[in-house]
Amino acid sequence: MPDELAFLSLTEAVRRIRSGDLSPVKYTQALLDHIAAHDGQLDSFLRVLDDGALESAALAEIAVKNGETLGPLHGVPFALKDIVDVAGLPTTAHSQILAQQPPKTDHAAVTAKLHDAGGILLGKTATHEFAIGGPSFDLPWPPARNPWNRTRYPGGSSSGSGAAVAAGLVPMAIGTDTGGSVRNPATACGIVGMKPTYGRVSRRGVFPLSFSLDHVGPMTRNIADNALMLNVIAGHDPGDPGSANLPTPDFTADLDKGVDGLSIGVIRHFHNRDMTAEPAMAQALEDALDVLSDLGADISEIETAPLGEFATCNRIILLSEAYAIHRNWLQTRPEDYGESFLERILPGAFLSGSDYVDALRLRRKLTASFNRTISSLDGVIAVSAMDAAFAIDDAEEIALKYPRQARTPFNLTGNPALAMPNGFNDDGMPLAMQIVGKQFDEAMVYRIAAGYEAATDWHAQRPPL
Amino acid sequence: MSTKDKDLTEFAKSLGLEVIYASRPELVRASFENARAMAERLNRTHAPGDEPSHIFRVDNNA
Repeated sequence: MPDELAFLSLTEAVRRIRSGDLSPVKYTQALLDHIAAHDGQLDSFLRVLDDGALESAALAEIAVKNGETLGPLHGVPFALKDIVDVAGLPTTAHSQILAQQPPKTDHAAVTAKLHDAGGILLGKTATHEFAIGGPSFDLPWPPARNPWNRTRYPGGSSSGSGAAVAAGLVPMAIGTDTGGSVRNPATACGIVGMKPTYGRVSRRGVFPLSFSLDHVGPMTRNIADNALMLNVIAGHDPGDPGSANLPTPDFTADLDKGVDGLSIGVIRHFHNRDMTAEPAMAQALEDALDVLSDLGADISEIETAPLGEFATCNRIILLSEAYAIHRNWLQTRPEDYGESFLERILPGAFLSGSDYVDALRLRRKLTASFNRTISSLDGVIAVSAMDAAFAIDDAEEIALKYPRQARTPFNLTGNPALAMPNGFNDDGMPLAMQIVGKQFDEAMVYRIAAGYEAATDWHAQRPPL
Repeated sequence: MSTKDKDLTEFAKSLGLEVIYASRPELVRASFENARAMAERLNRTHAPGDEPSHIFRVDNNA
């Protein structure tokens, strides 16, 4: 198929479908053909809905021809991480534990919103087992691979969503982020991943990993597409106890305002004191700061608590909550879990009630402290990972590099945090940075990100499929 | 079996983890040690009045 359709931006696809210039059926079929040609080497999809997607596309085409009112994503395919419920399909969480489950009866909140906006479900994507155990080769399905180099890890746990979007198999996908799992594959695959503010996007119908740390977020190839997707999936949901009852602004409204005059803090100690990033990752951050400075942003260095303090706090809360969720299966069906899941989750059995409460007490302090720091700024920039994507099948390297990241602080604090590409290393693997905002100020995060993106072309690079 | 191993066996049983302990005692032991090391690293408050974070804000549903 022509690359022109595979790598068409979401925003452009919406425009062309609305104008009648692009047939939803032709577009969907082109993406299905692209999946058939390339996903055998990427394993990003667990399930592709060929017939269902084409039927939906045909209905979308009729609606365009009939002049019906069209939703903001009308006729554009999307993919869902397979911990997100779809009525009529099972949710497997990429695990033998749920492999034989009956189909779900209801859509998750985000599934319903994407459908209602006119989106076409193309399929469900690979994940780490229950969004934490991976990359694994002992599960019913193989792990997704990085389209920039198939011997490399595509990040996780939203691995398939990241790989599929980067490879042009689908223009938008849903991921979830509990310790960085939207931003990690975005970083590794060279795309854009947003973890919105806690409470901004409903978690209803998404298999939980950790109730108080889970976030649902959009994954796309550029900033405007990401903001458009968040416009659709954000909003108050009485069915999610953590959903914030706040209005949803238009996240695309400020994309063209630029960064001139904005105050941006940079956290360097994450990657040059708390941990040591690979030189290319650190240099890419400095180069990005230079770009923003040249565009008129005022850059200043700031300090937060050390990464290790955030990481320990996040891990104790995450494992305590996750163990509570999986306790029954761990007691009765431990052999049905993969090794990586067991190694990561089982420590949760041996954390005490006071460990959990003390972690929540520290979380309150860390959150208040970060919110004080960011209060005088428009945004904050930090690295996302210390390393570019590493080998997918080297257990020692995975154990060493998996925790070398700077994303967990913002799961704890709940602030919006976006990962976006800012270069490539000598191996040709994507590099990335994070842009963090005040709580519920995703619009400013997108504004800064769009300003940087407009001055660079990293987002326009395509993997060598 | 050492006293330490017997204690861990009993602890694992009390948590309902006897199935996995029977087949993977080394995994259970490593998980126990990992958890306790993590708890040791936690920067704890000693002020009785320090509240935990309340994840569900007043303007949320709960």
